[in-house]
Amino acid sequence: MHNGWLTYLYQILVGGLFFAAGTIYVIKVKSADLTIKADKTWVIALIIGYLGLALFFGVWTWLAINT
Amino acid sequence: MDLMGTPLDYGILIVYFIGILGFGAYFARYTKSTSDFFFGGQRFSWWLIASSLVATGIGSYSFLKYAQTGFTAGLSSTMTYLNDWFMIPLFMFGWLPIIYFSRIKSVPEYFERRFDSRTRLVATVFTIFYLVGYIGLNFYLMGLALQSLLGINMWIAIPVVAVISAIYVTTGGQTAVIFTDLIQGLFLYLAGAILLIVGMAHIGGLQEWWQNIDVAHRLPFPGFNRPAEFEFSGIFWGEGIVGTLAFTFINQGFIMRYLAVKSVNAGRKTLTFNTLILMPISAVVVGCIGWVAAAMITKGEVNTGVNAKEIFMLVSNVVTKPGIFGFVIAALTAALMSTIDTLINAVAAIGIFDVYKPYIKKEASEKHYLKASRVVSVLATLVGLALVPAFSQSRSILQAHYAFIAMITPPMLVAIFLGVMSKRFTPKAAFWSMIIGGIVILTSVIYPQIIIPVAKTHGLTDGSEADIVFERIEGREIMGPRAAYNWQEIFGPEEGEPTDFVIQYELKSDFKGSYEKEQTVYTKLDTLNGTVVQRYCATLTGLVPRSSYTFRVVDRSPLKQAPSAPEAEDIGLVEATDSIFEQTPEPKEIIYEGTLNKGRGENGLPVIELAAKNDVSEEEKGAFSHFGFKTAGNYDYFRSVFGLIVCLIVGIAVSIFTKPKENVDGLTVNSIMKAKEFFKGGKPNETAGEIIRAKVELYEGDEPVVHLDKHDMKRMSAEPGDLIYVADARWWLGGLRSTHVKAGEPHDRPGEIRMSEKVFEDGNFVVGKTVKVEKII
Repeated sequence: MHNGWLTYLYQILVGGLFFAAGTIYVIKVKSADLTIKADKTWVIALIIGYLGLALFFGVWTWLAINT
Repeated sequence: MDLMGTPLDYGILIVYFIGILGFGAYFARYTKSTSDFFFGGQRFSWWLIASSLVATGIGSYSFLKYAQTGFTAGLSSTMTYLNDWFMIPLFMFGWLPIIYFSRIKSVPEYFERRFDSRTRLVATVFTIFYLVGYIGLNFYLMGLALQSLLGINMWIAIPVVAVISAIYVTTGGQTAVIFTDLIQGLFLYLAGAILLIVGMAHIGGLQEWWQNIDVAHRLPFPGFNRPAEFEFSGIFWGEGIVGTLAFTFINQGFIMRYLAVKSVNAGRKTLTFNTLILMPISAVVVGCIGWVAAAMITKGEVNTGVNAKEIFMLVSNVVTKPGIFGFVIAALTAALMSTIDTLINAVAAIGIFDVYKPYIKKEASEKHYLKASRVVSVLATLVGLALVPAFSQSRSILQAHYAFIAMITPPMLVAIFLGVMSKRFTPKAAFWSMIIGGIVILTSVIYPQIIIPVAKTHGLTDGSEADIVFERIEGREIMGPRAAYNWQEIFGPEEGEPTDFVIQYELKSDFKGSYEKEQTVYTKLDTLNGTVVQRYCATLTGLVPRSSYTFRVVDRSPLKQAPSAPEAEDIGLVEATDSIFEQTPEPKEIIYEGTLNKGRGENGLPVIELAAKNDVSEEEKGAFSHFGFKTAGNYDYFRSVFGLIVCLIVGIAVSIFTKPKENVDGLTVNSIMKAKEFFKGGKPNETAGEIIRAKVELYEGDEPVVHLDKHDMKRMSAEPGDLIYVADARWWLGGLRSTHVKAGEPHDRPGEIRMSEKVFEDGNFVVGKTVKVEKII
């Protein structure tokens, strides 16, 4: 496996741990109250943002190595 | 020093200065209170604040620094701009609603309300020293940039920019800062777009550019733990995790921007748009010239011995034309001014809210405090200016400032972070984690060895070895500029072939004209878009950490090309007699010992050539610079992680043995509802509703409420007593003409909003203009 994938996985997985921990915590203490429409929308936006970035960096790494 | 650029370029720069001055000063009319002066009255649209953050985020040296990094490390120069998202949930649902709803005006104020007054005092001292020093540093770096790049004397450039910035910040406050930043942000992006388009066109298009940079330059991240000056793991932890938290939690200028938006929801839009859209664009804007330069090197269009630090001006001058270059320089100045104006406003806020009000004049009129805010803004600028000579004369003062930032950031961050996240975190724990944490971090600046256990977890070198990487493209040679390459990205040590090159090196302080150590250089042949690239790498060992070395490259292949006497005899080429070899000049190794600065060429660009020592004449030695490098071992990125761990341990340990503060409602993440109640002065109404449009109907008096039609109230899901945001319906004003006010009892005239003259005046509304009305909470 190319080194480029190692850094990619590290960024997405370790960064993802921080992201997940932060998101779960704010939901648990009800700072992000999922019964409030605006809060729920923002939590979904956060997750889409994370997945979007993971996809973006994945495509970028693939293009860098394979084109 | 010769001035670069044409009169047209300078004309554009002067018009820009005058324009920004007039534009900023215009907004003085909207500043009637300290809330307006520091927070723009908390009324602006999300997009206006987002664009303002663009200009603030791109600082004094960003163009130069990231062009250099883009040139040496490639697209991974974007990494520091693109790794903030992981920590965003904690800001979006933690710190942002707390500071907004609890009406926190400054970072130290939070320390008092959440902890106690002595912790606030420590935070105030830390913040003021940091911010004022930062103003001075930015002035100095800006002066250096303009002097080295344009040839403008820094002692003229600095006061000019300082006076212009101080005038519009002092008169217009945060509103002026935000609106000038909007213009400056547009300038920055337009300049970046121009540079990107003309740069790519110069290369021959996107495809051609992509083909002329190699894999190491294309990847989004640098090598995992090498090279020491730009490696992945340090940037991930130091910038992505600790840096993002520090920037979002303790940067007073950044926080003040978020306090200027019309609502927390608008703040979340700003945050999302800024992090996912604008920061990637900013990364392209500041780095693209370096990426273009990397391809130009492959194509042989840039001098192979070019100094990477000069790459921005060198390439932008090549690819742009007169006028456009002036535009680029104006953008560069915009980047400088937009950072400084934020700092001046932030220092003034701390000065008023954390020093003047609590310690000097506790009770005074709003008019008095506004006047004092303006005086403090001027003082902050003057003190910043006064620090410039100190920064310029002593490198140790500059280093002391960086050490101070490294010392205070983790302790303040941990105190706020744990304070926000847990009610159990005690005032004594906050105080002692700041004091003990600060001392331990300062110790790590003097003795970086204590960071090794943390740095070793990611395989970072302790500084006893270093990689030297250089290339020969189509017979030309490059050194230095590509030193930031991670050579294991290019090829592993086991893949390379040994060469006739050796690198000889010596500790700079021990160097007496001879080199004691040498290391074999390995090579691998590659092709890049048809261009032959010979890559050379060596790992130097037995080095002293955190030290400067001098080195040279010796090519011994000429020694092999001429056969030695016994070899020649063996293969029957010549008759080996002493007389033949006495007459033939003995072949010599070629020694590359540095670069020659040959001044400026025909187009005014610096000409730097790689020189073999053998070729350097006595006259040229004055322009000769030796190759050098610095060994790792400072662990600049991991110092913040180390500091964070120390402060966390101290904070948690002291918390276990001390009592938490009672009544911290609204100041922790698990009591946001209380903060909302405090903000509104009643039970929050979170039901989603529509935004409606209405015509204004004025009545005499100063009643602080507005009255809406009952059907309109229903559409907005609003009740009497709810907090309402009323804004001029023209979106492009960005909330400049707007106000927050409570909803009064409804009437029954659809499409009409009734408000007192006082509310009308507070919102800076215009007679006859439609307004938009939105329920906030």
